[in-house]
Amino acid sequence: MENNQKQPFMEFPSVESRVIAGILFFAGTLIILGWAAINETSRMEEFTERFDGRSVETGAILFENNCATCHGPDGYGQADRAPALNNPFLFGYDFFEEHDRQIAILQGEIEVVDPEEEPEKVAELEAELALVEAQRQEVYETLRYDYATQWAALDAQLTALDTRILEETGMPPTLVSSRVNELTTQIETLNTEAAPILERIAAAEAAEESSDPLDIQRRDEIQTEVAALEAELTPLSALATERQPVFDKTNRYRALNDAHTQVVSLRQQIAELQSQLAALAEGDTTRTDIEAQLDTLESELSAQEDSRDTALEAMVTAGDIVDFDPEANSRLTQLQWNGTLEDLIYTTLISGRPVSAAYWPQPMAAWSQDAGGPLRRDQIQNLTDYVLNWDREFTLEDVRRIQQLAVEPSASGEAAAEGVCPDAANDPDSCDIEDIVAQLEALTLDPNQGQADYGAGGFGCTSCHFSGSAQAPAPQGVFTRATEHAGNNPDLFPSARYYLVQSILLPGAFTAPGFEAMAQLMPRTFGRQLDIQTLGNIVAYLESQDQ
Amino acid sequence: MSVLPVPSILDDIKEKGIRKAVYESLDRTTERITAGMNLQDIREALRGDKPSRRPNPRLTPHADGFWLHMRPSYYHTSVTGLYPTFRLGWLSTFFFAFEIITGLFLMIFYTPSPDVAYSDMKNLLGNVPMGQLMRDLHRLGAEGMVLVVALHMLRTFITGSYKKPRQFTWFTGVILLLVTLFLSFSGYLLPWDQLAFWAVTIGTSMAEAAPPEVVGTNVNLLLRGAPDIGAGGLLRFYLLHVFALPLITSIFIGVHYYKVVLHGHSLPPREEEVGKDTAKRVPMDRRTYYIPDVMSNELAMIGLWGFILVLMCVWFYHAPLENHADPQVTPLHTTAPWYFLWLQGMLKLGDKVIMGVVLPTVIFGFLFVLPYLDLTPSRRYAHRRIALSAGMFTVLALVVLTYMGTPFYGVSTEASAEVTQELIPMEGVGEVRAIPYDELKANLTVTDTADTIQATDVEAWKVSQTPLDFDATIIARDPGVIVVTEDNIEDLEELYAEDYPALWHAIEEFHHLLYDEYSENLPNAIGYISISQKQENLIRFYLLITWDVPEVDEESGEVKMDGDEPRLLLDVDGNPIRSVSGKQVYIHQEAEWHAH
Repeated sequence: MENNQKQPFMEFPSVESRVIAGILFFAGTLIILGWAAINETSRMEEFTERFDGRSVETGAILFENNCATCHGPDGYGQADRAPALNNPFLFGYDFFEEHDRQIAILQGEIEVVDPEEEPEKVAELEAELALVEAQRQEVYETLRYDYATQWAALDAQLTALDTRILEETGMPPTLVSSRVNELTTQIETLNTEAAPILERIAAAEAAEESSDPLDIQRRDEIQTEVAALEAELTPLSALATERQPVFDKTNRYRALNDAHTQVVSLRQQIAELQSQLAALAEGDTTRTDIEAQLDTLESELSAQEDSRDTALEAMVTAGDIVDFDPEANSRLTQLQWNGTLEDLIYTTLISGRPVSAAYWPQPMAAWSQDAGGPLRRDQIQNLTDYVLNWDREFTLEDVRRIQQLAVEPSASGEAAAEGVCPDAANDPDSCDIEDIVAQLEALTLDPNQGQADYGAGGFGCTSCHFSGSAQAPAPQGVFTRATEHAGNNPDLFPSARYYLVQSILLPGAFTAPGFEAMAQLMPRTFGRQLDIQTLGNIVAYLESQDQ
Repeated sequence: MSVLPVPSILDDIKEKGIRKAVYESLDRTTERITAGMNLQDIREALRGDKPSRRPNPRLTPHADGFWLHMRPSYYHTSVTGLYPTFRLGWLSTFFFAFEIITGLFLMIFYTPSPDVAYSDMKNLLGNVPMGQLMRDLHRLGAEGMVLVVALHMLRTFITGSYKKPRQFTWFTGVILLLVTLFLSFSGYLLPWDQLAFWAVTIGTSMAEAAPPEVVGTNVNLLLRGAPDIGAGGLLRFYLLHVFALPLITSIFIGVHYYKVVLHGHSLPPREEEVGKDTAKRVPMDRRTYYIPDVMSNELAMIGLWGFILVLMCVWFYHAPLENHADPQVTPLHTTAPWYFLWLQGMLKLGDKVIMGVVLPTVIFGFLFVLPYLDLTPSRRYAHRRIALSAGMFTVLALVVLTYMGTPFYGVSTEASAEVTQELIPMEGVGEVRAIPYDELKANLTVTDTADTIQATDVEAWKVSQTPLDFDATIIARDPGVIVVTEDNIEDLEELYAEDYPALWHAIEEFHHLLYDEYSENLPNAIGYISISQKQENLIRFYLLITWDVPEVDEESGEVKMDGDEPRLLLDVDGNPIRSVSGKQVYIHQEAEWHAH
């Protein structure tokens, strides 16, 4: 067998070469690892950016499939259906950030300068301040009142419509409407004439006698005439009906546009006169003249401003536009939300906004599977990322595309009148708990109705208050705990019921131990939303929870 | 007298001088740690000298130490080369250890719950230094281990090493092969992405097919913890992956290795007489001692493979991570992991029970008992023509079946869906996502070809009965539509090829798919591409295809042809029916699909 044996093929024939190779490989590994470690920070950052970018991509598709129906394909909202998300207020975008900063700086400078010592400097600074303030005013007015582009487009639409009407009828639109009126009157006259004739014919028929042949002849004549008139009227009145809303709308826009243009030009004239006035020496004879002119212009300005506001209001009422106030509070401020915007969007998507049933035809549903919706948590995150990705420098064009603004919580009308203490959110002292507890004594309370309201009454209690919830105490055993609190602090809570009522209406007054970090989550709006009977029923339900 | 109240090294130093005392102390410590070799012995071993004292100190670590007691003190020189073992058995063990080390690191950052598993992946990859590297190493090591274990079995078969007296070694080896497959497969699910979820759904659905029904249903329930994979299934797979299967592997590696040492490595077949096993009778001149030769070799190999794996994972290989698992959406062309593709291929050939359960059971059963069936004594290649031919045939069959398991074979999807899937796959990159954002941005309004859109197509979109996610106002909104027809490819090349290579590549591929690959299924097709800005840093890419519906043979699923032309389906008026299909994708500036 010996001659069959060969020396084995070894990768590294001697011990030394194997040791050296091993050391080299090991060192090589360390060098590569070192290189990877140096680049690791930037790699991780890049990864996170890519991951978040892809999350937005997924969110875009989810938005299209789930949200666009109500919030619009580009997130500008839909009138009377759902508010815009692609909206400066959601992001707390401040159109006046730079102006306000400059104004603050100038005001600070003016304060520092002593007006007795350096009157010129003060005058200079004040002039500058006035300039910045005027610029700020201009931005504000543009955002609020400038619908020139929209008006021009509407005007063009109207003109095109009028041209079409002229082509089709050979008449200008004004003639069309007067012709429509004329024809309608003629038809009415004929019908009035026909009425007694028809009556006579009907009476004759009823008596089974033959009618007067003159009557029949006249009736037939009238019918032919009316038919001819109606044949002319129908297309004309269709055109008139088509034109009317466009015409009205254009007029509303025109009124606003004219008033706004007037305001702008008056402001300019006033500024010019004022600078003339400033250039004139004290005691110059032309001063009174200019001052008189200024007075006229200013009264005219305020009249134009009023008519501009009226025109704007008319447009808002007609549903042409949303009432866009560039100085309105950000959504987070409106809601008195303490968390980040991301938290707001994320949690709203998870549990919906049951309260919005009060002002939208359909409330914002709970979208997360945890709350009975169709989406998983990661998809909720994708959607949140997509909505947040609308944050940018908003322009006039963006603003004009908004179809619907969010409703301010305090603005929800009817509920306020019935609430037990409507102003509890802003003024806790307005809410007299003892008085409410006393009122409850006089009522018959229904714990079953209370349980129904607690769960599905649109107040959203069970979104947070459920067994095992980390956000809020569970309803189970709440009465036992309330009794304990009342027993321990009789000064604070005269009775367990007092404790419950106060917890619902004034959540800020006392926070259940263990939930301090969540104290801000409980809405302060139940004083407005709950009438005394509903409140009582819910309290009765909670009082039955004494395990 | 001691220097200190108790005896200490200081006495030695006082007596012998500091140099000698310290050296002797070190020497003794080394001898204790190595269980028998002092500094001089180690030096000699590393220099390749013969041991200078008797008894041979290089044997004592095997006799007295724990770690080496399970290694032979010497090997037959004929088995220490690359042939006949190719180091595959050793490499399997190496990978197992490697997987345990990297796996422990990954375990720290992982929670086996569907709610957080995927975000744990994001955290691991984007927030844990070297986290991505560890995941890549673990994944690459897993693929490598499956490959190496399978090759190890193939080698054992080819050299006939399963024959007497090593039958049981082979038996435990088949167990280890199975456990390795399941180890890798169970780890597949843990990232909880689409790839994981659907590959494992397909894999476990085979268990459901096991007859009789009561067995299949219950095995499925045991595996998944519920009728479908969910939180329970993930936890079970996790526990299998990190506890049960590694435990079984460790036990059987022990048994397997014990048997290997007991019988010795089988020699190359030609070095033995037929029917003899001389592995344990090693002549003095054919002995290669573990210390230093085999040991240094193994250490160098650890260095080599560690280096290769790290090198690969830093620059060339990244473990895939797809979208979050979604039980509602099955990605088109989902496959099992590559080492189970042969099984998927078999499933396409016949009944789910026979092909998916019975046949694999028979195959593995046969593997288990192979050494007890094949009693021919000779290990010589020339004497084993039938066995080796059967082996080669099996390997070939596996390769063919693996191909058949891929979506390239026997999967019929609607042609239009196939085209959009090719360009915008549900998972992964594809030609469209590979277009850099800047190229898309530059092409938002480059062409104004709205007029060239066929009026019939616009009508088709408007009246289309299929629930399209297409919005008929798209043309009004996005005037910059790129129209791809059979004849305008040169015009498009002129417009795009030079300045927008990636976009041009996608257009070219679109053209190729419509007019070459699927021209029979999509007669008179026209393609539309619309690129529009959705958000400041987000672009929408919309792909639309319109075509005349061809007549399809119901049995074969193939388009009926009139000569070269596909026969068209006609409506009651005798006009061809126009159909439309579209798909969109959003591309974010930071997503950078093209770079990764």
